[in-house]
Amino acid sequence: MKPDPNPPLAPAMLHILLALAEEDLHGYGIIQEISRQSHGHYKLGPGTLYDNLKRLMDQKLVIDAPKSSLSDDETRRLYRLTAQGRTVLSAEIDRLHSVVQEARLRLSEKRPRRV
Amino acid sequence: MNPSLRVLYRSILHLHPPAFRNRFGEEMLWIFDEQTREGRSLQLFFDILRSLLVQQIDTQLHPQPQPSGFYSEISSTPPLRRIVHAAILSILAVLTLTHLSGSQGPQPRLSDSPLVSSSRVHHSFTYWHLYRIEGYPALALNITNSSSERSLSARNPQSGDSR
Repeated sequence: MKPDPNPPLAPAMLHILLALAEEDLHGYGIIQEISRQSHGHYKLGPGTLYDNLKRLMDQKLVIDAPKSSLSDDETRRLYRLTAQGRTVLSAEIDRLHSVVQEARLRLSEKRPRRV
Repeated sequence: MNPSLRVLYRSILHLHPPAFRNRFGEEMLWIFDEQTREGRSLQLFFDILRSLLVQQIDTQLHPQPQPSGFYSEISSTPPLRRIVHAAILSILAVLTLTHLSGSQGPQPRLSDSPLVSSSRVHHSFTYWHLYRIEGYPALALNITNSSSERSLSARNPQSGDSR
């Protein structure tokens, strides 16, 4: 049995990749974006953020963004989603989509049990 | 913001593996400062303790690969962490030895027992240092005998003559 090339992502990893999908962000920006996307339900702490960010960087899914002169806060490091990271994120979204579809199908087919 | 909380957070951060700490430490501290204003201190401490556990396990499971080749560069910078540990251990060792030697050494004090004569108490006060050589019985016996004789002969010259 071949190992899955895109295994399911941990929730924190998924949210980080999703936060970086639109633009480069620094650590605190990622936390704020995740909070915004989840309507304040999912708040990441710095420990969890950097544990997962380190793992994503080790897998080359996220890299350090080069510092731009237009950036307001040049002292902060920005993180960028790589092409590989975008592919992994897309694969994860597809997987979640199929899970949601399957769940909806099963819930709609559910019939009351016969006693 | 409570400065002692920041110091505690920084201390826990310092226990992380150096590679992780050097890479993300400052940013984590910055986010800590920002989030403590929102009153999330307790959650932040749980978060960093969890991160500490994860990083330590990760370091144990996946140690940093050593560079291979004909030769490798050895860092000549002094390992500050080891120096601090060695200093703390040295201080503890000295304090322990001092404490032990102090408790085993002579503790001259006046005895309330009527069996102890005043001259013996005076002797223990004057020659307390001789009681330390109890590890060498023969030597200690010789020294104490000669010292006692000298002290007795100094006090009572007639007793020395009678020998």
